[in-house]
Amino acid sequence: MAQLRRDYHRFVERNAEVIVVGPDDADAFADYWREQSLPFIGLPDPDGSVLKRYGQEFNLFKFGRMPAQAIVDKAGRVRYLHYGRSMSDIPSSEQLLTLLDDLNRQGERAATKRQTTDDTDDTDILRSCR
Amino acid sequence: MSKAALNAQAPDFILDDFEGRAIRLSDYRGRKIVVLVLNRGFM
Repeated sequence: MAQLRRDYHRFVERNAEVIVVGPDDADAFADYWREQSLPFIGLPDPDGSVLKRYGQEFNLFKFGRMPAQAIVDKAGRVRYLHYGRSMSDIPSSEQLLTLLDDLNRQGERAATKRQTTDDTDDTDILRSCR
Repeated sequence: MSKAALNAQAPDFILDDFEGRAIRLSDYRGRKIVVLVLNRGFM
């Protein structure tokens, strides 16, 4: 979390929002956010509705759910899913930022491609007008 | 209840943040990339 706080502006620069989901209630979140002055969104999920869908299976032998991370692109697709094998098995900010750079590059390429397709369509229309 | 899977559409959700603002995943569609951090708890 400290790493995410330190690098948050770099996520913002890459047009990403960081959302932290956890099993604690709103009061526990509020306390933690105040103590750590965290800039991103904190979502209490005491029923586990999101944690169950995005996290991993509950493991009794490991006393609960291990941490997980997901990246959802602008089209609403899951492009990265990481299930930690231990409490410390968490991708670094650098890894996540590199993935965001890749996604942004892909997004730009897709936009350029659409533009080119649009131009072609225009030409076709012009041709059919003539 | 569908589970998140790589390269599939992300299961939508709506939850209140700790300040009571409703956060819906699909509201970010077309606007921002979302980095979801699934935490185990603060204890």
